[in-house]
Amino acid sequence: MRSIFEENDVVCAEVRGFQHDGSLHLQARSQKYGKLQRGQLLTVPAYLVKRRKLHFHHLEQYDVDLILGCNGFIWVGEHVVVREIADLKEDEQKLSAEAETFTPIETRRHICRLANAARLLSALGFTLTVELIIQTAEASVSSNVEINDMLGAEFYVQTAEGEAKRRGDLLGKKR
Amino acid sequence: LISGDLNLDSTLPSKLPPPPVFRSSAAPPPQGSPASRRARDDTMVGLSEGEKHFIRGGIAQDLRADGRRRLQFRALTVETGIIPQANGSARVRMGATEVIASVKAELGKPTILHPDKGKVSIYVDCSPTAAPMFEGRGSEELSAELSVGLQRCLLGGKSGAGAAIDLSSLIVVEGKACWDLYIDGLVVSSDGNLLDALAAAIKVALSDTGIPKVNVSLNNETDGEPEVDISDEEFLQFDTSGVPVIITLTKVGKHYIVDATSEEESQMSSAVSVSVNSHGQICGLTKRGGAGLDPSVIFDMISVAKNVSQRFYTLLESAFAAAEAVADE
Repeated sequence: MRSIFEENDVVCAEVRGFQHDGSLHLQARSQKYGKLQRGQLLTVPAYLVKRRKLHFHHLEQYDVDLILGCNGFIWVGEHVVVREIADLKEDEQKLSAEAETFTPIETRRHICRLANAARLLSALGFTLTVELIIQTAEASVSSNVEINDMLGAEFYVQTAEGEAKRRGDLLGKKR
Repeated sequence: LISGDLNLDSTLPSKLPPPPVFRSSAAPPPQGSPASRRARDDTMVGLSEGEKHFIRGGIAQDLRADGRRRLQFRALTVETGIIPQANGSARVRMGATEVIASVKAELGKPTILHPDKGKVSIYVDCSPTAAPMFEGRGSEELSAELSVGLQRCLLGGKSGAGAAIDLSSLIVVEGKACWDLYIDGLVVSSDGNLLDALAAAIKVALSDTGIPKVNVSLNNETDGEPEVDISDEEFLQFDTSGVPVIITLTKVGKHYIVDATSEEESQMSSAVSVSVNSHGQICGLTKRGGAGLDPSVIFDMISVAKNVSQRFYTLLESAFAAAEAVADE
């Protein structure tokens, strides 16, 4: 097992069931036993992630994987192509020959924008959904907000006001 | 937080808390000894190799995990006068790092060696709420290191020469009575860059400090104990234009970053903390981390720190002005 996983590794797996002794039966999503590598992991309060049909989202327009865990762990990283197990060892050698294999800058920008959107929404206390995260990231692009300025006061207020308006409109429609 | 009937005030407060950064439980390794690096394994959440690779890649490509460039600071907020019982106090937040500094002034006796100077002591404590490893005696080493780092930058030599605070201004009666300043720093939340945040907090706290005016009556000179009457109303403010700030440059791979988060600090090979005053003069220097540095690299880091300090002074001044504006309301 140590040839595949180490302590502190990030793993994406679904709970398939409970064993009779209380241990969990996990199923990884067939790429590399579910190990997540090229990206960043954020933690948010767990109640902000609700159970949905899909938690693993492949955002094609950004070539980014966004995983919303019900435990509050949010993974934003490069898209991982489903591969045969035989390719595993080759990939591990690649990771150690470092500099040439850094994430390309465009993908990195998308990852940082989505991650900041998630951080911002969790600070505002909004339930995290993939639609809201993408919407917030796109709003920051259309408002010409720099990636790191997404965590500043102005965009904070803009996002909160946008959501308030959206919910107000929703209430208006119901009536 | 948000209920069904949302009625957001159109004027939200301008000083919103910065969004918290998570995974900060990968607490900064108390820089230096291998023993303390082992202690880091007790933290709640670690970093996988893939994440470390991502952080290093971001620094190499000038796009860090939160979108900052290598020499960009996190959002800086400042509050003054947060401890009413102290003579001066301040809270500084840089991202998720939060520190408090307080200045207390008490009347004391000057030392025999320096009868014309007051005394200043600086002590830093790391609250156990900041990180799990700070519980019990876990923070001793880090607190000692931070205290010494700050003392080196702010207190000058043993004779008090070169100190940021003019110690002669603290004298009340030469040889008999002087002000003792106790500067205390507290780390409330730890997400990297503690030294810079503490130095900024101390600078702001000193700007906020008022030393009561004293009236000295010298009738009892034969006793050796002059009567000192501490005024309740009049206060002397400090001139803090000479107090330096500290800029820490963390070297990761071939590049330096400023204002590192604790995740980024975990990837450092070495770090150089430079204390620079407003005239651009270097007041102190500390190098941490096991990797050796070529002298040319050190000189380069010093000049980068000097340039960055100009921007940091501006940031600190505008944050301080905003804090004063709020306090006046």
